[in-house]
Amino acid sequence: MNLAELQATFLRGVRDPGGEAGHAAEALVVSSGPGLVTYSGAYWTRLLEAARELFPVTRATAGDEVFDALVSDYLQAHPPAGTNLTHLGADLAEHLGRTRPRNEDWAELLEELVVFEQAVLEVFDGPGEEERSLLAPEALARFTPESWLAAVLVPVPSLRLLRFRHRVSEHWLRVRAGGEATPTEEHLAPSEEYLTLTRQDYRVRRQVLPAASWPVLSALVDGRSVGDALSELRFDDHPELDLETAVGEWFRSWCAAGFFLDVSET
Amino acid sequence: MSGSRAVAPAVTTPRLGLPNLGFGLGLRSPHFPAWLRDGSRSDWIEAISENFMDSRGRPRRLLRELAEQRPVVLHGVALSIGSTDPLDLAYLAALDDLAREVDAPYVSDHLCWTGVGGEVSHDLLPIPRTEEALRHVVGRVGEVQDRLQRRLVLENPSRYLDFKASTLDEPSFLAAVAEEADCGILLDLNNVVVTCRNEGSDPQAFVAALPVERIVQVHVAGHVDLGTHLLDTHDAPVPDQVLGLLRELLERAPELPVLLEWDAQLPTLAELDDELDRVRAAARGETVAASPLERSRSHEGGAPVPQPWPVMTPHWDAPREPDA
Repeated sequence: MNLAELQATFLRGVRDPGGEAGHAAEALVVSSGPGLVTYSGAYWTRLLEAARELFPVTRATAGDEVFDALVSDYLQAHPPAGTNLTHLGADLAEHLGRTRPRNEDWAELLEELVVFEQAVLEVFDGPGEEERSLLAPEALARFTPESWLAAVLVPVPSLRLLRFRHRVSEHWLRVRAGGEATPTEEHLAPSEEYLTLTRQDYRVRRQVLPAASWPVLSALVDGRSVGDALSELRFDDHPELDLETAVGEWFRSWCAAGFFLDVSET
Repeated sequence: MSGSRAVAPAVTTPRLGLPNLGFGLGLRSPHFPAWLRDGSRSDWIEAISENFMDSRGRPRRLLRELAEQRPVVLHGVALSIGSTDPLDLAYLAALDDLAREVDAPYVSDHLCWTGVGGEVSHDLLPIPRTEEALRHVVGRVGEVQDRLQRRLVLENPSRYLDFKASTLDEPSFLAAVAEEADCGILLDLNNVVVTCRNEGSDPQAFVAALPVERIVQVHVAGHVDLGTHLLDTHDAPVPDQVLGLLRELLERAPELPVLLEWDAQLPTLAELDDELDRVRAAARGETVAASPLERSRSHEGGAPVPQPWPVMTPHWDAPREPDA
């Protein structure tokens, strides 16, 4: 057996010490103690503990037993491939989305919590704008109505748009503040939540968006012009809003919140 | 099974010409506020490379800030120098970038492999000590040093088993890698104690068999005795046996950087400073009292996990909670 075959056999045994893979790995080694079991136990314990650190509110909401089972199932399907454990759960939401029970609000809430916690991690440690100047609200004043419709805004790299079917961030904040982790009926009930995450001065910022603004901001982040983005507005869906006033306020607040680096006239 | 091996003539420059940094502490994320607020008596810092290489946020900025105050050595856990997978060139580029940024005098990692076939175990897996493995590792160390344009320093990991295929004893293998690849040795004395107890060999003979001029740095730490074996947990004061090995080593090589590792059941930074003072005193040959950190350790809720722990737990002074 060459070195590559030995390593592949051993690693399979570490992941599955009780099965055939474990027996094959045991045949390669000598130990006066538990040997392979020490490595196997460390492998699973370390990954589970990392996942608990990375998704604290998902864990608290699910409870340890359910959380560990979800993560173990995920890790069986997605063995870690990166050198940074902080990225361990990058595909966890997608995995839950495929495997969770349908029509169960608690399961959907868990999936959405994973999306939220993963996004917070990525914004916290990803590229930021701390050493760059951002687009100020005053910069919008130079546009004529026509040139404004043709303008394209450049979003900051940290900006994440998140849309949930439950009040995920409210639940998350409540649990992080020491509140009860069991979701309330209010948090389990379908109730759409539209959010942005950004980073300023190395801190993650959350902003709740009015539902009507979501398609506009999404289109802008996709690189579409202001005019194109505004065409996504559904006036009939929001009879309560004075949309002209609201739209102006949205753009000012987005710039003030540091959503954009620049604006170009096409 | 394990025989010794003729080693090439030793170099004569201590530490391969690398600096004697003094006594240092491993940087752990829960201590960041204390490092910035109160400082430490530590002469230098060892940072886990993988916790900062990919960071574009607060962790990396804080490391840069600390690097302006005292030397920072980068200590990796995922280079996987013994793996038969190709070297991860993106990983090496990111490591090089970070090493330049903090002006690291050298970078270190472990004489182990961490994964194969694209999978990463996040553990320091033992290498079968064969001629094939030796040739393989020596070639890769050369490539890493060429790419980084700086010295690689390799640490002996703790071991809980051995491969039947091994033909060399561990100190001979470590010495041969260091000599033939022209790299340094990070001698972890706690790992020596753990490995030797687990395989029934002599830790003093292990240390004595190494080419002392290639030892660039020393690790000290604590472990747990599980009866059937020792586990390298980094959650306890440095035991007398490790301090004894340190004293003996420093008689042969009086100017070696010494790093105290502590990863689990983490004391405060001030308590670690006191523990580091205890290590300093022992290194001077003084009789040291039992550490006040020697207390009953709880491993409730699961078996203790061998360290080092490579995840950057997000316990920074500015919590990552989004503003409400």
